[in-house]
Amino acid sequence: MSAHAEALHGHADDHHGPPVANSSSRLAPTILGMYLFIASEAMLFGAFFTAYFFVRVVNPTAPDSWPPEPYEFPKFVAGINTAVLVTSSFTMHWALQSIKRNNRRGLQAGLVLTILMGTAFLLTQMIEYAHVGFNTGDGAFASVFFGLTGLHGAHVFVGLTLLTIAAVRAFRGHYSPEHHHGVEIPGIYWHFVDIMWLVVYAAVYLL
Amino acid sequence: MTGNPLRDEATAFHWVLGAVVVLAVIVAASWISTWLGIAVVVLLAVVAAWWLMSSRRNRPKPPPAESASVEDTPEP
Repeated sequence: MSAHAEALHGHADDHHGPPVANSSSRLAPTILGMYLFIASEAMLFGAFFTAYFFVRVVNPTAPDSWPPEPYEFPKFVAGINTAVLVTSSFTMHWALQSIKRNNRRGLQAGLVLTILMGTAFLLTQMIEYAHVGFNTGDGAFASVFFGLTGLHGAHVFVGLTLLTIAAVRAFRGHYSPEHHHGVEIPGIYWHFVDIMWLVVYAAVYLL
Repeated sequence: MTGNPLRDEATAFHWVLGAVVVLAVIVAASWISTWLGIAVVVLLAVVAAWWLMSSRRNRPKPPPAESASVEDTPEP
């Protein structure tokens, strides 16, 4: 066996498991993954907003009023729902600040409150769908309404799933002031979902 | 509402508060007049672009990285 082959053989014996993934030294893989995820989310919501603005503004047969007569959006109930979701961002922030100060009770209470408010938001939206007075087959405006609000509702559901996992781990004694990445990432996602709802609420219900 | 909201939760939370204020201003202007609402959106977009560019300009530059080839070259 030549010296070169020996060196190769010896090197292969030293390394166990899969080969080390190649990564850019300028950007951490987790950050890059988050950027790509948010970019894909922006494009997804952007496609739905494009459909919405086309139906409402660009379409030559766009209705004079929004929503078209005789339908109405429940602005007040949706406004209360918006307040609930914005409040849940405060409790999420409180949860993370608590674990940074080694306050485990605060973390648990904050996560449970956030989950409860997120669930209340979803249930209220389901009741709103049942009483809104139109369905997806009642025109393009109804399709984009259910499409945009439903897409956001799906994101709330994903956020609730992540928060539930974080809450279970919090009650099992995980996380510390130094290690709380498992709460931080769902927190960032939850705030993103909150901001998206503010845009949806302002564009679809209020403007 | 400063900093990258993807870096940490506290910054993302500040973005939520900023979004509440910005959207409240846009909605209030739109209720007064549709064109005023559009003007506010354009104005806010210009302010956001200006703020983004100025914050990038004021960011301290990292020290230039020394190239590996120079470091590894043995002295004659």
